Amino acid sequence: MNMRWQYAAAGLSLAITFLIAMSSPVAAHGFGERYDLPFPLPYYLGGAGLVVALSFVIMGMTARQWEPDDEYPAIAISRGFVGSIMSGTVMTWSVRLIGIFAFALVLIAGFYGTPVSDRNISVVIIWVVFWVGLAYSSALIGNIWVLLNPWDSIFRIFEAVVRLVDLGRVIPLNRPYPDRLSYWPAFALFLVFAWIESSFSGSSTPTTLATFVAIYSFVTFTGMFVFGRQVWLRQAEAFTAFFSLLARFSPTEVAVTDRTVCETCSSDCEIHQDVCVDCYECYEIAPRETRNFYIRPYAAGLKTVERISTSQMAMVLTVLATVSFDGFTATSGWVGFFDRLLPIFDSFGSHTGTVIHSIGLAAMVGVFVSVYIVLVQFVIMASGEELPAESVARKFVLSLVPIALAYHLAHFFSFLLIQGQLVIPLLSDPLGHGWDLFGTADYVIELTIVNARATWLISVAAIVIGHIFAVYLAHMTALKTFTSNKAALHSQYPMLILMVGYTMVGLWILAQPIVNTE
Amino acid sequence: MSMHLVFEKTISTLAIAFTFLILAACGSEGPTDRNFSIEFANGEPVGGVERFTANQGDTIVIDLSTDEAATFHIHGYDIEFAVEAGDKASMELLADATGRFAIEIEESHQNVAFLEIRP
Repeated sequence: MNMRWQYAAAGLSLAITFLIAMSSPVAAHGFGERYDLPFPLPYYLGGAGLVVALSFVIMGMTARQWEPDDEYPAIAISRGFVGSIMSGTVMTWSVRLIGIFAFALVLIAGFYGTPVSDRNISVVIIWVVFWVGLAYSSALIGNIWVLLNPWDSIFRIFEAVVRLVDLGRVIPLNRPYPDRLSYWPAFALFLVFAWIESSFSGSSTPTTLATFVAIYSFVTFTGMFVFGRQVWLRQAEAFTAFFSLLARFSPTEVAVTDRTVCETCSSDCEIHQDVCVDCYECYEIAPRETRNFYIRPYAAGLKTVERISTSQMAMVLTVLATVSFDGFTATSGWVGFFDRLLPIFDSFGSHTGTVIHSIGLAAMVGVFVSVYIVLVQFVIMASGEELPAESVARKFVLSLVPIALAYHLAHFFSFLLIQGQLVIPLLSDPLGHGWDLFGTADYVIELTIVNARATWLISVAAIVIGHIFAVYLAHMTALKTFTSNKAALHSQYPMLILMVGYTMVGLWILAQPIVNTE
Repeated sequence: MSMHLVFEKTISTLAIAFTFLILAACGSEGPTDRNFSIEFANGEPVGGVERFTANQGDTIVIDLSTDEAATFHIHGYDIEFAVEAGDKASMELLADATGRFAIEIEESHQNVAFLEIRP
């Protein structure tokens, strides 16, 4: 019965996707426009120079016998009044309701609102608030998605209703999740989302978006029903995996300070020094005294690399590749690639653009994965120690996250501030039917809110700081992975070349004049 | 453990230093008047798609001429100007926002020029 559900779901999704893809894409006028000025040369060179110089500084510091250290300073802010409010049911469910409301709004506005993309709130909620805004919040503040996730909240309500009515037979099936599947469903679903974001030409059409959301909801609810809510969310739900990854960089965490609680709760959370960190399932069932909310340094959550599976590693590399691809498609390098492929794929007519973009995305992911795998070989060779490549690859992949994150934030900074303002008029007229609920429907986007020089400085700062974090994390990982400090230091030369190279790619993309590919 | 604190302090200092740099990111030359022109003929901008550069605070006048009726639209600033066939007109704007803005013919969604306002 299991397999039939999966086949049915897959078949249905494919059919609908195919139908949508075959419909003529509506030209999206106005939404997603970017007015960014490329970096002037001094910023580009200055950023590049700083990156290289600081990398050597860190190399020098590490050479002086650092001890690998999983500890990090953490300030508890969960005691007292603030703490009890923040973890209280009223607070958490207020946020959950906001998530459900936004979800409902996307569906309603998507299906019943105007097809004009910059007059429909569903487009702005998904591409600005969700994809960019939530990525920023997850990385810079904390994992708020665990509360905003509408599928989680709606399923919890469903579970509560079922318990109330006591329909013994209808409870979630709780079939065991096959170990082999691991994070692959999340990886695959995220790749589909990344494709929609970067390649699919109908990605700004409200009805198309709403349809994808509906399909994804069906897949997610089915998965939670069959395998259990928490099991599915942690490994197979694409956005939980994505935002949790970004939130590892954030300066906040929840922790359960009682080892026995961590051991008895159902999921397999990592336990460090009798504490399990960011294990939300344990946090919910743990007694009040053992629940803590901490402020920690940035990137501390990326330090602990005990158990990253191969599928998780694939997910991380895919996130890196897709985040870079979006910016890359606005450069002249991409235009050259595009123009060369154009005559080959002409037969696809109006969908030629989508096809070439899809090839580009696949190629980008392929390049990232292959370069990384080859690099890991060099890292092992440089260390002089014999270690299995796959395990080394898994250990080091998280250290690349700050570079991708920094680029993502820099790339979308002015976009968030400018297109983000669309929320103001859209709250008064979400469906584009001419309403004015809050009196803000006539609001015109204020371009002067962001000055190009500030954007350049923030972008360079973010990229340099991201790079520093990455080099630091890689060094810490090397010290834990290799037996001698000397081996660890030598192993980092190839890694440093990769990181400097990757950071340069990000800087290069930001310095390119934005080319329109109409 | 102390090395880590040194490292983390260095990062924080750098972050603060950058913040000050950003706050200090003001100051420009005096505003000037600039004049550009777009001539639209035979379905194309004469001379190709040009890039007009100006500084923040400048007053910009763009002279338009076209052989067919066309509506010129500056994106971002969202200024529209309809010009009759064979007619001439002028668009004026105060360049108070920085960025790279496409100038388009509304009817055909064709880019005819780019306006770059530098800080």
